[in-house]
Amino acid sequence: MDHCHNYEKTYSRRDFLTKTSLGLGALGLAGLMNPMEALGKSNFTPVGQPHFPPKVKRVIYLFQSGGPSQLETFDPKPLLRERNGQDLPASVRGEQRLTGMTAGQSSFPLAGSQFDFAQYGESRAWVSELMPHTAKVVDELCFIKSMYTEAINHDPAVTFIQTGSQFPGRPSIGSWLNYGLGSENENLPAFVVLVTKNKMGQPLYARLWGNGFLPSEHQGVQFRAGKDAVLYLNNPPGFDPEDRRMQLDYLQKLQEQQFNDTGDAEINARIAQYEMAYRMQTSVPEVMDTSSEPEYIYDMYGEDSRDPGTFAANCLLARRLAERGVRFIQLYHQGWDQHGNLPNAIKNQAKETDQASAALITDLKQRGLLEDTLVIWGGEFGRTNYSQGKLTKTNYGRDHHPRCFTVWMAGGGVKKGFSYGATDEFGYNVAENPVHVHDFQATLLHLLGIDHEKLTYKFQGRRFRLTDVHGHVVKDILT
Amino acid sequence: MLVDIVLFFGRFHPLIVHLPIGFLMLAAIMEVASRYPKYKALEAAVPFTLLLGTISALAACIFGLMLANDGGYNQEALDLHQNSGIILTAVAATAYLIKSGLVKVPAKAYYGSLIVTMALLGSTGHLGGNLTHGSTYLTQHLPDPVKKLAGIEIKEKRERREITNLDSALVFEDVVQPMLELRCVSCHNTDKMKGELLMTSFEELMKGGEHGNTIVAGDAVASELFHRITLPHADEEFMPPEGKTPLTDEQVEIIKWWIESGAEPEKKMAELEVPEEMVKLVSIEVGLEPEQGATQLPAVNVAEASPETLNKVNGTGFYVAPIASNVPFLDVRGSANLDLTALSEIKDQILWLNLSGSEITDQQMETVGAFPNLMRLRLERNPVGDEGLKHISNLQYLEYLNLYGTQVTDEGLKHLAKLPKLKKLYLWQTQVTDEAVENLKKQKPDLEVIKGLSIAKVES
Repeated sequence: MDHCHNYEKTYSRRDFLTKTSLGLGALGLAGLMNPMEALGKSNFTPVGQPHFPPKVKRVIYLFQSGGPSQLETFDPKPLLRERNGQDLPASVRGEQRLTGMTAGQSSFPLAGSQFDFAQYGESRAWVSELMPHTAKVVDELCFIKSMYTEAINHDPAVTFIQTGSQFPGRPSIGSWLNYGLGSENENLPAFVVLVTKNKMGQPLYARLWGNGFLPSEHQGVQFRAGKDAVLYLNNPPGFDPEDRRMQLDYLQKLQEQQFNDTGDAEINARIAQYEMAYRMQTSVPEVMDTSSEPEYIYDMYGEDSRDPGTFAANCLLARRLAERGVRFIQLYHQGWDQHGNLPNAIKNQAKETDQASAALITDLKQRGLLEDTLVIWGGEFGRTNYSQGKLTKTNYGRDHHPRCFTVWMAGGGVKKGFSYGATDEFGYNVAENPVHVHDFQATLLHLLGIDHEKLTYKFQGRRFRLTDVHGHVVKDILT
Repeated sequence: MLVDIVLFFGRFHPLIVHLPIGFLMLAAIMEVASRYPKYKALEAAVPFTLLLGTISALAACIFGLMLANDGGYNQEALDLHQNSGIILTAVAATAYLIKSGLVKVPAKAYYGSLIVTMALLGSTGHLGGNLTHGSTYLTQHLPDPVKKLAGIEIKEKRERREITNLDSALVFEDVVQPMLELRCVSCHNTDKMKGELLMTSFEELMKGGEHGNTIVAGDAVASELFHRITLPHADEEFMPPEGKTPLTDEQVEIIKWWIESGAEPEKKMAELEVPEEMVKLVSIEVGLEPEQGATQLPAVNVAEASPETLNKVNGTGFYVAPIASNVPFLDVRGSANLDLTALSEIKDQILWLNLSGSEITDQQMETVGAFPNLMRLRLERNPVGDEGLKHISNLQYLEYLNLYGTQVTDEGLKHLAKLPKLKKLYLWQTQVTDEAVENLKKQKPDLEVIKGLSIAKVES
């Protein structure tokens, strides 16, 4: 009956071919791995090499989940105020597919923003009154006002911008980077996720920071606020570190034996994860303990930053993680999905994020870290120029809008105090220099020294990339 | 149809030629070896090997004649190769006939024919190689002094002349021709002349090839050259052909602009009306401006450190990694209590060095000062002071220097004025006064100095 167990041997023909033809196999950029790490003694994930000298070494992505309105933040449209209440001309809307939430509306009344805009800094960048702190740092920022996406609903849109595909199952940006570039700090994961606590809104799920088909040690690790930043990391009471070490050593022996029997690469991933967890027992409490931060730093990030788990506290943590060489720090802040009651709701959202975002830029800069860090602020799509539901003098809502939205970047390699692309005067279509989600991803990889067409992983007979078969580096925003 | 089949088989010529080379050489080697008692038995195999050599040489001749139909070869060189090959076959046949005893002549004639066979083998092979690779292929990388000794003409390297001023750059000679030189001339030269097109000079280029109209001044779309370089890359007609590096999109744009502006042979940039976009593309092409998004590396030749060296340094506690593949420069990070002298072996390769919070003192800075190609140096949060900065005042490539949280004062800043490339200086949490910063900025107007920052209070 032995042959019945053959299926358990996942060391298949395909595995064999992958492992022998790609030489060092599943880990690291094929052929670009750092030889000394591969030969090294520890289980430290091998460090890959960029394809060309990078501009930045790490990314902090302040993801604004839900789709922040570009019309209330960075893309002023006076015409909408002029034509407030008038119907959106059909010629402007074209054949745009609408969500089920507004497709049945009998009219599409244009809604001018309730918030005033002004120009700031030497770059004269437009920022609304909702973002007074961000307005102070515009000369560090590079706005892309002509972002567009393909999805019109949250799940596919967030999945698209995080993984390059609207369908679940692909690795997210941070996992690709972890896989392609490896870690700079063997005591911390290369991909850390921080989610603002107690937020309502469109759900977030672990697959957004999942490794997809990449080996599972490349997935993001969520650090939570509160007693256990990483769940089940601490030793149980009465169990001392030496016991833990002995236990792990024995476990590793067993796992290696299992690997010899089955050849499943995921066993190696598991060994690596156990070892990482062991090192994180000391490194995580150290990085999460912000008590040594001086008062003026808390003041800078805002009162919220004293409360672990808030966006402000996570921004401060992001800086601490960046200082320690974490490659990709992904923040999520939910709640930007204002279908109704937009003016009130967005005020609150802006208040929660504005000061800390600006403080993060400033703090990174004074420490000399902004030079080789890329900070990104933005959501998964924009919002419509017409009101969802009733438009009143003081109230309106906006539906999802894929055709244009604004993101900003700051840091090494991107132009400072720069604005790229533009929307039409209705704020509905991109008028110049469109930037597709895949272009955005290609540019992000480029800044890290990666050719987005060359970072591939073969799975189910096909080589996959973050940008699928698309994407152009937006060279015009690069220094 | 017939022509196609002839050409199809013709292309096997480069494969088949290796058979007579092998067989005939083997015959000669066996002939010599059989002089020694140990290999005496080999002599009996010599006639057979010669026969194989002759037959395969004959086959190579036939396939070669077929390939010659392909055209695109320098006729003179082709004739020489062809005749040499045919004579070789005849001489090899003679050697066989004598050795096998079919023809009875004195042994001297046999040895003579064998020696001539070897000589012809060498010359025919060489001439054939010249036809495919170009006559300079073999000696291209021969050191110049050796070339001189061998009497080979030392060609002046057609490298792009260094351009210091865009206005004075010659559009054809300095911008367009170097691209053609790099991507086209290996097949369109006097030896190879594919499609009867020569691209070695302006005159030849304008004369065109078999299609004519290679360049139609003022009309890019009508120009065969532009047509061929803009086809889909998978197209059979696309140039350069499959497997060769194509021109970049930017280079194609430049060529298009050059043709449309009249395909001038000798005009300078300043003499033509150049759209703003083109100024930028040309500046990048000739190296006046760095490519957008590219990191400039020190223009020095540095050997890649060996894996053993890297391994050794890594073993001393430093994190060492190449900053990119195929780049010799290294990114190095240290931590407290490490011996900096361990880095001496890779001193030329260190480009980025991160020693933040590593308890670096003034004494250790002497070692750091000996890393000549440093571009980014992070020294923040170290007990390093003014004395230490003295040691790094000669770093030619240093662009980024992070000194926040160090004991540096106004005095130390004076050492930094000499750093020619310094662009960013971080002085938060130091004793340095605004006045000293102002003084330094007067000497280095391009320098950005970052002291402590705060975000202004916002009234709500």
